[in-house]
Amino acid sequence: MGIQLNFGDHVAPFKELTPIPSEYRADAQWARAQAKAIANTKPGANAYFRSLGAGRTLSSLLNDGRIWVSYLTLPAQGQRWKNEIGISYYPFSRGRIKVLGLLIHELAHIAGATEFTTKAEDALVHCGLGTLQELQTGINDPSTPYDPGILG
Amino acid sequence: MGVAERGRGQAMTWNTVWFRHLRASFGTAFLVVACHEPNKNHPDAGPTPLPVAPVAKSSAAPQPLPFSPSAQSPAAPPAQPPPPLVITNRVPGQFDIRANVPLELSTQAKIEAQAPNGRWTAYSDLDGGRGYSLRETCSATPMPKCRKLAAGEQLSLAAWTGSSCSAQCAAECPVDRFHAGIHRLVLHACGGPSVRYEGLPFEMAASERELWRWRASAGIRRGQVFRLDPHGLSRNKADGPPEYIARFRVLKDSARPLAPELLVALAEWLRFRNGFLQYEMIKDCFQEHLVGVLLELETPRPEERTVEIALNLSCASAFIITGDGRGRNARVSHFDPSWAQLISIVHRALPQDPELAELRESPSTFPATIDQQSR
Repeated sequence: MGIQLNFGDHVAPFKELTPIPSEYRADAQWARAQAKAIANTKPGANAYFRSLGAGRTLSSLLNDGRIWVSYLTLPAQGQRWKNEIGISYYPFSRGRIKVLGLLIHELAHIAGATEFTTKAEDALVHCGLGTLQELQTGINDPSTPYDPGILG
Repeated sequence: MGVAERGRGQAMTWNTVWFRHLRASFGTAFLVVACHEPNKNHPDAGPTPLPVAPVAKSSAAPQPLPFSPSAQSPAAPPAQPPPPLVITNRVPGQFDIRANVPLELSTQAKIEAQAPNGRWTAYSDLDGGRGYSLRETCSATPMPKCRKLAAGEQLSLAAWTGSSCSAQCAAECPVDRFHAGIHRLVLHACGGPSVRYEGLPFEMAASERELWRWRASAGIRRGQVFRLDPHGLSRNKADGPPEYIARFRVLKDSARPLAPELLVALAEWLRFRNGFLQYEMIKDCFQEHLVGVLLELETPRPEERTVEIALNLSCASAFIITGDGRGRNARVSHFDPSWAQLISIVHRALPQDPELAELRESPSTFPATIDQQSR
């Protein structure tokens, strides 16, 4: 069993985390499958995640059935508390590639990426979801889900 | 005394008054043990109760640190000599020391933690095993083993951060642990580990986030409030005031002074434990409705004097940047439970701001502690 998507079979610890609405469930499933494909095909992704402090690879996180992904009803893109991930309307409304990017970002937090740093967002580059040019220049390329200006 | 301190009355310095001084002289095996009572003059003195708010006495120009309680107290026996060394706890982890007699101290200090059974144990893993040092800066010059202090000489030490491997001067590491609970600083005579100078116990904050808020609220002298550019985030850590507050660009002509009563209110808000999430929540927020606060503190150490705060009112998050021996570091606090209290301060500080005037409802209902959550 890997990370789980809350389709109504999970009671999250905060009422701001709710089951993923039916219209977004296919995108959430696609994002989870893509994340697993990244972990299987990009060794740099696992190495980067292992460096973040908790010593966990992307593969180990994706195989962890204790991690739940819910829908976040707050004006934020996402949040993480322990093994609870919330993804809000905003990534879902901008397409499944953004959902994938946010899932990677939140998993990087579970792996130890701290707040007020770019470590979580920089994980997207190591997963092939952003370019080295963006990473080095700090200039956002809107064609990728990576945003070098995101702290947190 | 800072505005915020005046607002809450008597400053809460914990004079170091409780120590044991063992002295060997001329190779003779006699020991003089001097046990001094807490300062009876000071309302906050005494080993109990421990402070639950940050101790906050500080001064821009170093003030003479307290002499022994016996020297200050008219009720004390006149023959009692002052203690050789006085350790003052400011904000937890910030220490001042003063020698009343010439002393030579080991630069290897100890931070001791008190277990529930009352037993004290020194940490051995601080700063990668180098320990907490009797040092004023984290400059790269090698530390001597001992340091001489003249009578009356005082030092303000580079702070203990509350963490383990990044305790004083070492960079942050992935396995850093924060040490909440009761602690004390212990110094030793050079070459004589049995000659101990124990500081008063103090309660370290519950988390780094809380410690940053305590630091920010202690001894506020003056402050300014700004509007910040949500799209003006700088990745350059060198960008600071007055152009940037907590890495966000300041909007032109937005600076306003904070009135003394608002500084008091801000300090109270920062110290309000239940006003902030006490568990580790990470929010990935849009940067909206940003307000910056720049505070000037009364403190003997230059790197502690400036505090930058960026308030994201749409996300109830505060980026707080303060300095210690390692440089300037940011911590994030989430003020969901006290959003209304803060927005009241912001509305009074920037009454003409139409964007902020429309903010009337907290974006979330996260409780201060997870066990308060009712579903």
